Amino acid sequence: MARITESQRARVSLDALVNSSNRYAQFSEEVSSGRKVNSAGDSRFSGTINQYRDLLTKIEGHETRIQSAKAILAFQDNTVSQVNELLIRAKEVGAQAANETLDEDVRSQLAKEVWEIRDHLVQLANEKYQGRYIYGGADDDDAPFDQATYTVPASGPESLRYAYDNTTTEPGNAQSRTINLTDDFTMTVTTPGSTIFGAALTALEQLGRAMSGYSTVVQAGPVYTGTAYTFPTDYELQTRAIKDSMDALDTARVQNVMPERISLGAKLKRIDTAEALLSLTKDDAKSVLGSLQDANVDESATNLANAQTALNATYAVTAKFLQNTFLNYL
Amino acid sequence: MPNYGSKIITAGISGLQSQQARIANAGNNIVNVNTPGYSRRIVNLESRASTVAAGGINIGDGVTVSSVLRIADSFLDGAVRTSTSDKFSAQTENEFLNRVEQLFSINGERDSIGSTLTKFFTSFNDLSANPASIELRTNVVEAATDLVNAIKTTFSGIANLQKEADARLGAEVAGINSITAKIADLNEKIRMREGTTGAGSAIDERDQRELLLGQLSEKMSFDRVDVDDGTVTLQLANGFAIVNGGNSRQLEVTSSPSFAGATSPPSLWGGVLSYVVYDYDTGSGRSHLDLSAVLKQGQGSLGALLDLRGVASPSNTNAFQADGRLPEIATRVEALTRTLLTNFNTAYLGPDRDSGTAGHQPSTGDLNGTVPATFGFFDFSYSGAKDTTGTAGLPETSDLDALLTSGAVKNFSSLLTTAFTDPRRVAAARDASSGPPAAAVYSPGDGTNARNMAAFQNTPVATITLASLSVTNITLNDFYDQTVGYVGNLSASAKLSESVASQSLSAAQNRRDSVSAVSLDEEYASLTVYQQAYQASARIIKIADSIFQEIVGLL
Repeated sequence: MARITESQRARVSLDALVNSSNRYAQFSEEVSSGRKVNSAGDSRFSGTINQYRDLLTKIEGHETRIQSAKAILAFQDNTVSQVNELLIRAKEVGAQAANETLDEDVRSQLAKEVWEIRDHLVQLANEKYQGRYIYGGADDDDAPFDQATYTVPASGPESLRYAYDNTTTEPGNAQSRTINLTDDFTMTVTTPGSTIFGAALTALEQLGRAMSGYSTVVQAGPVYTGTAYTFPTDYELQTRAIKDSMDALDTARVQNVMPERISLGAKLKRIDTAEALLSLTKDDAKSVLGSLQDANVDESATNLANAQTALNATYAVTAKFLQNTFLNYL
Repeated sequence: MPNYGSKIITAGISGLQSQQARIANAGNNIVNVNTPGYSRRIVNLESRASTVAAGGINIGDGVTVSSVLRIADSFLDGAVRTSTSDKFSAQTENEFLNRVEQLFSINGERDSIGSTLTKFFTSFNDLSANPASIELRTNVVEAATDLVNAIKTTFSGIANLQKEADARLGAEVAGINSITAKIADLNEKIRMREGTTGAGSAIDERDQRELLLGQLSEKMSFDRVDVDDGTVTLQLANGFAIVNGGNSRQLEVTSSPSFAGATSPPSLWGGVLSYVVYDYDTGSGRSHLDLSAVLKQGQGSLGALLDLRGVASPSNTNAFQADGRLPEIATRVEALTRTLLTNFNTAYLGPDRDSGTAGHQPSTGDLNGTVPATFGFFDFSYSGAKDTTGTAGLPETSDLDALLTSGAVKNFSSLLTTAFTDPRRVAAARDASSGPPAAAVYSPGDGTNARNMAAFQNTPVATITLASLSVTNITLNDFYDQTVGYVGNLSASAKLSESVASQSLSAAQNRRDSVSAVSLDEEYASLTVYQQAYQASARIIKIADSIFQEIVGLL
């Protein structure tokens, strides 16, 4: 039979105390931190835990950019919507002016609304978003549509024209901005203003000048000249020019503005879908991270209570165990 | 008719003396119950050789103390020493690796390389959405600075631990030398005493020697050979004797041993690694015998310190070639740094950064339209030539290797910087022209380069390599996660080893104590028995006295 010595009794007691204290400390930390893994050595999945932490940090970045993208697209959607309405109104004015019962003076008066619409459109085209010209392409530090003049007339709104980067030749004005919304979802969030506003502004200028009694050769691109009609000789010519301008307005609206509006709507929809998927990914990542790292608080609390009981029992047993010797009975 | 009267007295007296000896021994055992290294002793009695009385009747001449025996089992003692070495080795490993794992935080409570790396790439992604934003540009610079600081902090933390391990070698070796000198001294005493009083009689000295052997096993592994003259020889695994009879060989920690050049293998902290050596006389001068590798193979705190710190060949030219846990971990941090300096910078500057041919030019520009500096985004503090191959442009991995091997740069992690701090200098755009560098043009709203740099996070690096490390096709984040897993497994393994070694040691000590240690219960019970025997012996004398009085009364 094995001998039991005092040193063994002391060692057994000490080991029991150390083990009980360690378990008590372990469960205390679990309950207080809410985690069962607090450092890399606490789990063989520490690399995976770090991976999911990285993923959650990345997702936070994705969420921020998605919100930014939504805001910038919503801003453009609102702008393009206004452009569409302005072009519809300009066509209504043009249709009114094309009536051959109106003389050139009335048409000239109606042209004033067209110039208002044109100025409004220019204002929209040179709109800033967060301090940068949103329709300037990559060249977003100056207004995309510059003012120029016709030689005839020499003054008045009829003499003004607006062209995309007419006076500055900085590169990048035709470049859209593309951003990574997530690791595998990239989206173009801006469109150069020339695509949306170029044809519309030209058509508006053609319409306004025609209604004001000046010719414009729009087919040849930016033209800085044009002559005044001679009335009543050129009245029919003016009417035809007004009608041609209305066709150009329609073309600009249907081929440039409406597709942009549809595209913006579709992009916002795609972002919503991506956002929902990202949310699911985030929930999954949190769930996996929680299962790997988080303590089951109920279980840990129960374990802590048990560990506390065990520790108290160990104290009591140790006190008795070490106290009792044969000497007490001699 | 023989006279038994004197025999009665003699027997009684021998009984008194013998029981006194046993009582004294039990007392000695009791008072030494908590004395470290004490082995319980028993007093052996034997019947005293008697003279055959007239008439051939042999009653005996009482009892005598034949020997005092030290109760010890050399196999159990050896098992305790082995377990002690294992425990102290695991304990030291665990202590250091526990501190290492704190540098690789995974609970998100403070910045680590991993978290700052992710934030850095996220900041580039954010910038691509609004390339001209000074706030977002500042975020990129700040995130890069955080990443650089995290790398520096982590690397210097590992380097400082290596330095601490190196410094502790001196204290451990001093302790070993002190112990082995005392063991040699005790060897001599035991040999002298037992040469005159018989084998096993120098029990106090043997106890002291066992205690010292136990203390020595805390520090190192050794083989014990018992010699017939009572001495022990202590040898390392390669047969080198550190104690032989009355002689001990004093070890030494030196950073300039005779077998190494003027510059020993560099360390992580920028100094040199020291060696554990034995200084001996060759007959034509002094020389050093390198014992570092054999001690590293062993256990005990010294073995663990060498295993952690790393042991390097004198021909090693950089700190990452040392064979040890801390250099292995530091190698991974350094490899990540080098990837930022080479692969990331290359991607940042564009693929054709160093050609002056039309259509091949630095393809990025900052907000001022300035072509970035040669180093692009990350740089390191070094005043000498960074591009050692002589090719204009960004230094390659081979350039970094050359600087490391030459000793011009000890490591790149502690020298890592960002190439600039002005947020306007972040090159978010790519060259919009197709002309030569002089014709390069940049758009302030172009975020192409920023977006490409953000995508670098998910682009596998072909090879991450340094010293014995070689990992292929892995992203920086995955590489870091792998490193965290590596550190975590090392730490978990060290914790488990310490726990197992502690239990093994307890079990070994219990087995030894079951044989050698004092049991008070046993001693108390024995005392009672011895006391009774003593009283009985006294009673014999009293009876003899009574008999004598009876006889005297007859006169």
